[in-house]
Order: sequence, then C-alpha cells, then structure tokens
Amino acid sequence: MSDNIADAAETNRPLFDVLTTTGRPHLPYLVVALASSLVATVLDRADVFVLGIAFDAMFNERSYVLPLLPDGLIPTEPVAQLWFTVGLLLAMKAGDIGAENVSQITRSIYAQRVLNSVRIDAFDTAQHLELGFFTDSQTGDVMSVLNNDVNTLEEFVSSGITWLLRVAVVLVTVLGFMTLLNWQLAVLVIVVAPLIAGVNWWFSKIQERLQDDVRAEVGGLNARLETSLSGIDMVKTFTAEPFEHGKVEDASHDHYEARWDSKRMSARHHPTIRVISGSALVITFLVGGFWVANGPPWLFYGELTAGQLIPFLFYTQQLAGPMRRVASMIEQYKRSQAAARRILGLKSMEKTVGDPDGSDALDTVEGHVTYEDVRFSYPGSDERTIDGVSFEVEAGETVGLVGSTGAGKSTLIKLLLRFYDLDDGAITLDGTDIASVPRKQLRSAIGYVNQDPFLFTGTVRDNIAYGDLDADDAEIEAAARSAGAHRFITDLDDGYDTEVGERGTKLSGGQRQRIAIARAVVADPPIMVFDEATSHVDNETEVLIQEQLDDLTADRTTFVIAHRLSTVRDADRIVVLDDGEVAEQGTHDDLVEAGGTYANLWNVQVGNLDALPTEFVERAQAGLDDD
Amino acid sequence: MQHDDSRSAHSAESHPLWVLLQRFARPHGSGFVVGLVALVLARIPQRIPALLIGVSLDALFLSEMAYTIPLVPQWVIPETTSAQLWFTVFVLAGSVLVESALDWVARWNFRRATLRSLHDIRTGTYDSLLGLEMSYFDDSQSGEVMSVLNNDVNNLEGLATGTFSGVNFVSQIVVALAFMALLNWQLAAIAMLIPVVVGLMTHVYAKHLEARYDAVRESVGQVNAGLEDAIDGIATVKANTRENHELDAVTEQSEAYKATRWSAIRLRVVFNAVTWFVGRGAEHLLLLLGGLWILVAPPAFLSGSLTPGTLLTFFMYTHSFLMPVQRLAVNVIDNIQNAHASAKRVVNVLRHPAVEHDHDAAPLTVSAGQVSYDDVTFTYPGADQPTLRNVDFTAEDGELVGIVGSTGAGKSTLLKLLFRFYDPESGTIRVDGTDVADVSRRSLRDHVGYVSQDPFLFDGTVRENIAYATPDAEQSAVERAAKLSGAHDFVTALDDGYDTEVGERGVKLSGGQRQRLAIARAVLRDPEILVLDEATSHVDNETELQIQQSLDAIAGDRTTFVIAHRLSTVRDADTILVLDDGEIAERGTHEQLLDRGGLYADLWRVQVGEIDAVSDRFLDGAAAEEVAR
Repeated sequence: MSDNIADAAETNRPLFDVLTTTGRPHLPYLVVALASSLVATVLDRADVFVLGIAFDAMFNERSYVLPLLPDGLIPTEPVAQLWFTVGLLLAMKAGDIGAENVSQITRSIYAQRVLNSVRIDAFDTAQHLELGFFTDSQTGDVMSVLNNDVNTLEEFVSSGITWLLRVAVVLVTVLGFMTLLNWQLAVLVIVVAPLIAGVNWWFSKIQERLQDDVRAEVGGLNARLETSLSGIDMVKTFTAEPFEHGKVEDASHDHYEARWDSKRMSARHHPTIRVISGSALVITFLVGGFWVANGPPWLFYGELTAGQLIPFLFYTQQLAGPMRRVASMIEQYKRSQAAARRILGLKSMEKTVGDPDGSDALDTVEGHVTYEDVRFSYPGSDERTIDGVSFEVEAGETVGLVGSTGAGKSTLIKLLLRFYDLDDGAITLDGTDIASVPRKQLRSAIGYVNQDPFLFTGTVRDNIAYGDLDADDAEIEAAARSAGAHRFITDLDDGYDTEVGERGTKLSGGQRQRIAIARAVVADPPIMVFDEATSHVDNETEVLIQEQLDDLTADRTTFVIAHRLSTVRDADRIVVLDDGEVAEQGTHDDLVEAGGTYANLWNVQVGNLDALPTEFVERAQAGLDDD
Repeated sequence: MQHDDSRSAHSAESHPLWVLLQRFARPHGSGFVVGLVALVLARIPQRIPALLIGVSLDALFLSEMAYTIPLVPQWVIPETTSAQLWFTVFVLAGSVLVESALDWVARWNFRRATLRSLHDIRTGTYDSLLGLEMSYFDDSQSGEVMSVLNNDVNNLEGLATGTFSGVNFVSQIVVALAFMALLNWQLAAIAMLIPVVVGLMTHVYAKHLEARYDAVRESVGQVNAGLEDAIDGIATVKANTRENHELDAVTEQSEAYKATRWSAIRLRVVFNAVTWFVGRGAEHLLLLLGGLWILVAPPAFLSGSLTPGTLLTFFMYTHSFLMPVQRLAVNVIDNIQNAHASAKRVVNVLRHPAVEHDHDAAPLTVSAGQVSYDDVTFTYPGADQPTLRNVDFTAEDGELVGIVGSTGAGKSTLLKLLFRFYDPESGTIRVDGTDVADVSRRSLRDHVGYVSQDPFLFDGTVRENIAYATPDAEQSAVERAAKLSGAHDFVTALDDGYDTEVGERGVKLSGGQRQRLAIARAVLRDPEILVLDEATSHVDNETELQIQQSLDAIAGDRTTFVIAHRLSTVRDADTILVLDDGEIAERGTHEQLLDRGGLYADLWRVQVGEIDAVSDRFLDGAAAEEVAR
C-alpha cells in the first residue's frame, strides 16, 4: 500500500530533491556545517602527526619542522620545544572542538528548519487529500509518512550526512598524513582500508539476512504472546494453558535459534577485524622498525625516523573505526532515500477536486433535498454502489434510510456532503445543484454525526466548539442541552473544562456520542445527518438519545441511517435501499403491511423467524458468504 | 501459604535482579563465567602492543637503553637488534591473535548464556501469567501485560550487554593502569586521575542531559499525537472544514518541538566540548609533565627516571581511555537502571499471589447437565457493591435459558462464576448436584463450552481454529462441528478448504463467518453445557438472522445459556431470566413476561422502537445509570 505513495514520486533522486527544494533557503547552514566538520577532522587527526615530529626533535635530535608553520616560529631548544608542542596540541584541540561545535550547531539549525517545513508541508497536503484516500490501511500509511519517514529524514539530515562526509574525510586525512610522513610506507598500509571495508561489507550482508530471520521470529513470537493474552478468557475456558505454553515455548526457541545464528556470526566479526588491523600494525612495525633501526629494507629507499614511525602506528589503528560504521551508514542512507521518496510522493498525490468560486452561493438554507437519478461507483471499483436513486425530502422532514450492508445508505450521505462527485444525475439543495455550492458552505449547513464519535484531545468545550469556532459559552451550553449532554457534563469533575483524553476515552460511548451531537448542532444547521449514530450504544442509551433527538430534529431536515429498525420506526418516511436502488418508501406501518423487504427486516428485528419467506433467508445466507 | 508469599514478596522488593539471576541465570552460569574471564584475560594481550612499542622506541630506535620488559626474565629476550626486532614483531602478532581468540571465546560463551537465560525468563514468566486468576487480567491493560513480556525482558538483555561492556571497559583501563604502574608507578598514579575525573564529569552531565531528552521525547509525542488526531479524525475535520485550524495547531506543536530539541542540543554541545577538552587536555598535560621529567628533571615531588619510550606508552594508553570511560559512565549505568526497573516488574508476575490453585481437586463428572445457582452473591474485589445478589435458579438439562438485562446488570458476571473465573462470596453453584468449588477448574471448563462476544480467530488454518487446543481431533469430528454451526458450506467453498489460512495474515472472513467458526470451535468438544455471550446489539440483520437460526441446532440437548443484548435472539427460549441490578427481577417465557408488563416488557418496547410506550421509571433508571458510570 505504501508503494502507492512512493510510486507517486517521479524522481530518481528523492533525497537530493527534498534537500534542495525545501532545504534551499537554509543551504548555507549545511555548507558551513560540512566545512567546519572537515576542519575539525583534520585538526583532530593531526595531533599524532605533530607528536611524532616533536618526539623526533626532542629525543632524536632531528629538526623541528611543521608544514604550514614558518620555521622561525618554532623554538630550537628541547624544553622550549616541549612547551611549544603541548601548547600547539592544546590549541589544535581547542580549534578542533570549536569547529566541531560550529558544525553541530549549524547542522542542527539546518535539520530543524528543513524538517519543520517538510513536516508541515506534508501534513497540509495530507489534509487536503480526497476523503476516499483515507481507507483503513492508507490512513496508517499516511501517518507513517508523517511520523516515521519525517523522523528518519531528520536523523539523516542531522547526523547521517556529516557522518558520511566524516568517514571520507578521516580516511583521506589519515592517508594524507601518512603520505606526508613517508609515502612508501603509506602505500603499504593503504591496502588495509579496502580490506577492512570489504570484510565489514561481507559480514553486514550476511547479518542482513540473519536479521530478517530474527525479525520474522520476533513477529511470530509477539503475535503468539499477544493473541493468547488478549484472548485469555478463551484460553481458560478451553483449558488451553498447556497448549499455549507449548506454542510459546516453540516460538521462543525458534527466536532463540535465529538470534543465536546472528550472534554467532557477529562474534566472529569483531575478532576478524581486530586480526586485520592488528596485522596492519605488525607489518608496519616490522617494515618500519627495520627501516628505522637498520636502514631501508627491500625495495624501500630513503630515511625513516622513529618520530615518523610512531604516528604511522597510531594511524593504522585508526582505519578500522570509520570503516566499522560504513555498513550502517549505507543502511541509513538507503532508508532515508526511501523515506524522502514517500514524502515527495505524498506531496504529489492528487488533491481534492477544486471548489467553485462561490458564485452560486445560497443565502439561507431551507433544507429541501432531492436526489435525481443519482448514479455513483467508488473510484477503482466496477460495482455501481448507487444505481439510479431518486427521492425527495421536504424541509423539516425526518427520513430513515435502511437496507442491508452495502446497499448504499452511507454512500448517499457522503455524496450529499460532496466527499465525492457523482457519476451521473444530481443532488439539489433548495433547488440548487450542490456541485455548484462551495464545499465549506454546503458542509456548514449540514450537521453530521456518525457511529464513531471522534473527539479530539482537548476539553469538552473545545470539542463542542469545533463545530462553530466562534460559539460562545451560552451557545455551547445550549447545544449540549439539546443533545441531552448538559446533565452528565456538569456532573464531571471539571464540567465543560474536563479534558477528554485521546479520543475521549474516559467517557462512555453514549456520552461521547452526545458530545458529537452537540458539536453537530452548535452551528444550528438546517440539515442533520445521523449515520449509524446509535449503533454502538446499548438499547437503553439509545432510548435516551432518541428522546432528545425528537426535539432536536423537529424543524430540521433529518436523515437517519440505521441497521436497527427500531431507530427509524418513528421517521416521517422510510426509504428502503436494495443494491443501490430504492426498493420501497413509506411509513413504518405502511411498509410492514406491504409485506416486502422492510417487513422481512422487521421480522428479524422482533425475532419472528417463522414469518420469513425462505428466499429471504437463503439470500441473507448467501449474502453473508459472499463477503 | 499467605506467609510465604508475603515473605518472598519482601525479598523480591529488595533484590529483584538477584531473584532473576538465581532462578534463570544460574543454570547457565558456566557460560557467563567463562565469557567474563576470557573477556578480562583478553585485555592483557590487547595492552601489550603499546608497551612493546615504547620499549622498542627506547631500545631499538633511540638506542638509549637495553631492551627490557617488566616481569619478563632477561634470558627470554635476544641480544642483537635485528633479533630483538623480530622478537617484538612475533610477540605483537601473537598478542593480536591471542586477544582475538579470547575475545571470540568471551563473546561466544557470554552471548549464548544470555540468550538461553532470556528464553527461560520469557517462557517462565509467560507460564506464571497463564496460571493467574482472571482478576489479574481484568485489572490490567493488555498493553501492560505484553510490555512485561516484551520490553521488560528486552531490558534484561540490556543488562547483560551492559555488564559485558562494563567489564570490558573497566578491565581495559585497569590492565592499562597496571602496565603503566609496572613501568613508572608515580606517573601511573597521576594518569589514573584522568579516567576518574572524566568519568565523574560525564556522569553528571548525563543526568542533566537525560532530563532534556525526556522533554524532547514528550514533545515528539505531542506532535505525533496531534498529527494522529487530525488524520484519524479526517472525516470530522473535513465535515467541519477545519483544515486550516488543524494546520495552525500542528505548526505550533512543531515549533515547540524545535525549541525543546534545540535546548537539548545546546547542552549536548557544551557537554561534548568540555569533556573532550578536559580529557585530551589532561593527556597533553601529562605529556608536558613527562617531557619535562625526561628533558630536565623529575618535577615536583616525583623521583626516578623516565624514558621517551615509556612516555610514548603512557600517551598511547591515556589516548585510548576517553571512549570507554564515556560509554561506561553513560550507557552502562543506564542499562543497569532500566534493567532494575524491569526486573521488578518481571518478579512481580513470577511471584504474584493471585494464582489459580487447584490442589488435589477431583475432576467433575457430568451426566445430565443441570446447572443450579443457590442463593449466590458476588462482589468484585475492590467494589463497594455486590454485582450479584441472592441469585437463585435452576436450569434443567437441555434447557435454553436466555439472560437479559440492562448494561451492568450482571449478566456476564453470572456466567463468569460458572467458569469459576471468580468464586461467589456466598451461595453455591452446582452442576448435576456437585458444588463447582469442589472440583478442579480445568475439568469444570472441559464441560462448559464458550462462544464469546467477538469471535476471535488466530493465525492458522480453519481446521486449527476449530480444533483449538485439540490438535489430535479427527477431521470427521471437525466437519461435524462445522456442519452443525453452518460453517461447512462456506469453508469447503474456500480455495484450500479446511486448510485455508485465516486470521491476521490469512483470508478475511465476514463477521458472520467468524461467528460460525467460533461456534464450531465450542461445539467440537461436545460440552454438556454451552454459554453464548452475544455480541453487542449492533450486528447487521443478516448475521442476526443467521445466529437466531443456528441457535436451535447448536443448542441441541445441551443446557444452553444465551446472554442476549437483542431480545429477539431469546424470544423462543425455554426460560428468560431478567436481571436488574444484580438480582433476578423477573423470569418466565417471552409471552409470560410481556403479559406481566414489567422490566422485560419495557426492554421489548425498546427493541421494537416503541419509545413513547416505554415507562418513565425505565427512562429515569437508564439516565441515572449513565451518570453513575
């Protein structure tokens, strides 16, 4: 699924694109960061170089010559040279740290600013996507992009980039200093670096595969643990404790095996690298040692002093470190590319169909709604969800929409709210085609309550006011009263200022529903829609809500969608949908008498199975099995 | 027993890590010991090269001194320069090899012992969990429980790796200091200060940093929560056209995150700078001290001689101190703290008092299936009021009993007592005359089947789901159960029939199909008593129809209890028990109860939508109930 998002990005260099487009105004910071990191690394590695030369000068009677420093600056007397050396080392270290700090700070500034923009941009785009985009799986994908991918990118931009550069710089610097000291010996040592890199790469390839196995086993083990614990009543009633224990024992053992395979491999990794870098040390010492003591061996020529050999010994040991990180850095780079691709992909997804200018805006809305031969299928689906629906609702009427699952009830409402555009036909409001009414105006005329009353993190007041940001306390309270919520709200600890946590979980389903109703009502909309609004509350709570609704919907055009036929029993009119078409229309009593689809559904509601015709039963059965 | 638990609970309070080590690590003790010993020993060859390089500098390159190695007798060492060079090379090579070999042995043993211990801890803890009473699960969130098995056990692994690293770093430093002391104990004493000072500084800074990083983590959490809210509630956002409002909110939170992150970075930058400068600075000052000692004279109160080679060796050692000390002061201590907290939680589970005891209880034998509740009263632990009061009824074998009532009336609780998830505080429950408290729970549960509210399928084939926990069930028995519940037809229509994978990673089944598989599952074991805990009232009509239809077939001649939220389901039951506030308010058949015109009649009116006819008393009761919740 997330491939959809990634595919929408049409670029081969997503990371580069993100950094140079969103990051363009802040690029100078990045440049400074990279440059100062370079300076810091060079200064850092130079310390043993200076040390070697100082040793030669103080203890080996050589002259003290440093590149880039004029000779006149350097004292000639050993003790003075000692002080000079230590002073120089301290100064270099201070410079190193200073440059490193500058790098860190500018790097962070760059990262923070760029990622801030990326996050907000991506969020804005996400919000403006068509509602149809937000099916269950895709909502998760969108969240993943906004969350994980942005964070991955942040990690990379704040540290990954500089680490990549640092590795390159360290290698070049180390090799550079070695060459300055004695290029012949340097050539000998150079071989080591790619060797270590090669070995690391080889190990990481193997580990990748082993880690995939581990991940799979972890998944399996966790799934087993989780299902048995969340279904513990099942486990106990089926006396399945020994069974589950056996399963978990097996899963844990498999997990152990996978991890042990991986650990065994990594236990070999570290010593292997040590042997390689140790060999480099030994060879350097062998060749260099003889050279210093007895003169150039073999094919080598020229002089090598003790003070030149010493830094070499340090440097050979410094090759392994940066190489160790190469594998994980490449990993990070790949991940960041993928993340950047998804972020760019999200930004280029189709936004909602544009809105008309508002030229045909309505003055006051009465609430007279008509559906005229409406036809519609969901994007990407062959089935016709709505296949020629026509009916009319007078202003102030309460209409119940019923029918089996998938008959098209909710879809009709989504079309009214213009979450989608029709394939054919028209829906009119007070005679005007809603396609020419700006969405904002259309939706503010409709109060919408569905079965999952989503409450935002915030107070009760905030949540009710969400329907009308300008509502004052009196209006909020009035809305709460008409929804029948005022009583229980005032009984809460902080009343209207009570925090309703993540999705309002501290309240019961019925209470949350009534706050959602208050939210829908606070802007005093002429039309109200209840989309399975009471299907998740128990019978008694539904009765309480129903009582309030009678008053609330008295003068408003109301659409009620329900499975539970008891909910629509008192509607002015009931429209029965079947397979995308209107099968029957009428009052409850009329329809029961007519003995058609509605009558059958009603018999199910009251448990009167004997009265059901066999074709109805068989069709229902087949309908279930097709799902 | 009580006394034992409290005493062991007390000792768990004080040494949870010790408890875990004793029980789970000890059996693998040899692995841990060998690993750590090899680890420490490996440090010696690791530190030899620096020593030899210094000696070589003095003896071979500067030609000042004789080639001597502390603690090594002179006869071992050759006399000519070339021979000495070769000797050095071989000892270097040997050190590298020995170090690598010992490191490998260390890692191999230690990690294997760690993984085995973790496996034992995880399965042992899980085992304890399974044996706990339902009250434990009712009181905890499933996330909490999983977290013990997951996060806490993983943190214990962190303890092992932390210990390994800790021993590694400490022995690196100790061995180096030992070698330094062998060469020149006075300078060594001074050098020793470096790791100590840097370590303390790092530790102090780490504390402050931790606080800032906690703030960052919280801020990230808020940003993410805000994003999630807006995306999950996108329908509401769009219906109210609040996109811009949400954008502003997110922008604000993102800015706040930037600020906290920035404050953490500032501190980090200072921290890094100071520690590095002090660490390296100390090295260089040591160099100064040593240099003066060699070139001029031993400074201050120091005495004796110092050679350039020794100074070089000291420099090499101190140069390598910084990283291990920092890691030690930050990571290792963190790991140990986390592990301690986790160990406590794990031990709490292992030693939890709420275990389902079933000592020496006889198994239950059932011939008919009669169930009777004799004056049963029950209060949930920690509740003020009893959930069930003086419940008294008998279900004859083969009867279909419907149990109805408003939410919270005690319906589910009634049947939980039948399964002995809890025991009543007074009164008895009997099956065929036998008190259920006198028999073992497992045998009791073998005779009572259960179909739960939300039919739960786990990863596996259809067959495995139906034959849950009875892997040796015959295919014919499985099919028989499936036919009875009306599942056989659709199962055979699937691509792989009974071998089709279902569950999270398998084929998606509809609610009705899942329901039928769950029923088949319960029926497979052919229990004499069956409990159906009906889903809440919001199932679609088709599934409702199917459930009502199959009820007769499934019930058969079993004593069947149906907890119904939709009265239509139990309309044809032999008896209907109407619970109100924990008591049986009414009982009878559907027609009898309607005639009576009481609570059941009201509930029926709600069912059929005759809202105006519902009595005021009922409405008031429902409203009061809601506020109380």
